[in-house]
Amino acid sequence: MIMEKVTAKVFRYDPTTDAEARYETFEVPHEPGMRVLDVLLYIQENLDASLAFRYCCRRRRCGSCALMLNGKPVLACTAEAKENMVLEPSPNLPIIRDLVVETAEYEERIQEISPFLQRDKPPAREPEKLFPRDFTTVRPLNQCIECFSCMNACPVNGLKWPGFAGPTTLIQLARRLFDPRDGLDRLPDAARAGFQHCVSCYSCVNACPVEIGVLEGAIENIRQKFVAGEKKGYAKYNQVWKDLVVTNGLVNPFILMRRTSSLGGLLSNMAIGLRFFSKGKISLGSKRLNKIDEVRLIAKEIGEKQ
Amino acid sequence: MNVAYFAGCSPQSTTKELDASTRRTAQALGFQLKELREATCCGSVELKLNNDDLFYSLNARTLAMAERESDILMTVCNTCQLMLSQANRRLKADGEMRERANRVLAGMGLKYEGRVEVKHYLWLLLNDLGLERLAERISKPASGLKVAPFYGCHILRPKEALGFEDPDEPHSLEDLINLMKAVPVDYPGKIKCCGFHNLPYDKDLAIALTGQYLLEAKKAGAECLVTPCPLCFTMLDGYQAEAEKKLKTIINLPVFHLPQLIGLALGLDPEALMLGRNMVPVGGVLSRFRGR
Repeated sequence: MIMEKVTAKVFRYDPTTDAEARYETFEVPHEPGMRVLDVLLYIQENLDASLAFRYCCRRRRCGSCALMLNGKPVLACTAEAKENMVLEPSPNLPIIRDLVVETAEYEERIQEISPFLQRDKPPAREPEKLFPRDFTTVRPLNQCIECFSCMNACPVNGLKWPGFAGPTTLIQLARRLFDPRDGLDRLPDAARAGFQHCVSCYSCVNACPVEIGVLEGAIENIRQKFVAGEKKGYAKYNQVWKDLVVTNGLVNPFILMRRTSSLGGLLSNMAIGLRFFSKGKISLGSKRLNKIDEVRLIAKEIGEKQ
Repeated sequence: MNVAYFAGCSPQSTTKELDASTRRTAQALGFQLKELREATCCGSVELKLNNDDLFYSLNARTLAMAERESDILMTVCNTCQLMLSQANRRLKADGEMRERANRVLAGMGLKYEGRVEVKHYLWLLLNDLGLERLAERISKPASGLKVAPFYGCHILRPKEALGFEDPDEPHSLEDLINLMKAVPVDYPGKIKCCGFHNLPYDKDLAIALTGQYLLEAKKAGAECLVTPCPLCFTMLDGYQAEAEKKLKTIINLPVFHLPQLIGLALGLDPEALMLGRNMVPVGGVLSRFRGR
């Protein structure tokens, strides 16, 4: 079916004059290959010159045209115009006008992790000899255009969770952490940026317009580094999980909690624990696979301590 | 249809009712489940981070065991689905890793060949059984019951590892809800994260996320929820009382595992579906499932 027009319901708000936000609906003639940005430009040029939105490069490089299309974070320059669209500004940020938001808060979060190379010694020679193999983690992260689409998609950032600097900040941190030239101990910054609050939901991955694999490329690499270097808290939980798999084959959530919680943690879970127990949801003993020797052999063969 | 059945840790401990209702509904619908009793935990996010070599090798063992039983490995947990899909994908693509895993597996009489497809029970119901055949089996539709679907993350994202449906606009649960003449309730949280994986070290965050979606569903008019994931179920059902405490409000939304809801529509005995193990009582909505 040929689409003749698109309908865009656009968020409008000027905090200097409006008591509250409203939505205005515009009808725009559709053209093949039309993008959301084309719709916005048509509205501005033909229907309402006062509509405010940001854009610059028009080719997915600057990240400035990020907004929400039908509740999903997109770049206006690449997202295809749909028949019925609701266009809203990036959430969780102060509105400057209409679809334009103030991103200073996110930029400050990035500044706090010293997002630049910090060498502890000068290069051995100039020009410095660099090997592509040393930059396999960093290279895709360098593609980040800081459009904040991952921030807009992240449910934890959506809650404005204290101590969580958000996925874009963690990408920028990982760019330096995994750069072999960088000499700064960045794990304390990673902990302060709250990588442990990430819920591994892949919303950031789904939202990233340049497909850099935010979770596996940045956050999980930071976690892996942290797990390897620490023995308590988050790292202990991962270690106990692995130990239970190698010892029993399965993970009993009760045993896992008992072995990883502090006394205070156990006490705070007492009420819910009793409710789970009353429904038969807690097994005190560990179920072990009959063929657990096979699991241990695999662990041994790949050099793991049992 | 023969399918290798991977129960996973949760349905063997905290959510035994999921295991029971899966077996009962699968039997009623003509699936022959070949349970992988000696399969390990999928490793979840934790093992993948701690030692990814061990993660892939153990899952190669599970996939190799499944290959002996069927060309389909069925899961009932979103995270198991994602972990096994990711492992299968990587093992298929990475010859070196596959060889390393097979060297160890050879001593156990196993070999991973990449012949099995990992499928969630929800996907099997929709694609392998099909909506038409499922509709024929529904004897007790829940006419007008407002059911809020809760997909959870790891059955939708990342798309390249799962790819069953559009992660932004899924409709598989809605299709099943419609099939039983119930009414799917739309709300933004249905495709978001329950926070389960942060529960052990960030309980307040997990409860804040779950509470937000429960409230959204309630406000949208839901009378109950359904989820294809035991981890999401644990948050939505098991921690609902904690969410109520935190939000200082009564939510009282019964939550069903997917096969529990299907089982009721198939006319199966509620006791066989172990509905009594659900933390939020479901009695109030049972009467809505009536014979034609």
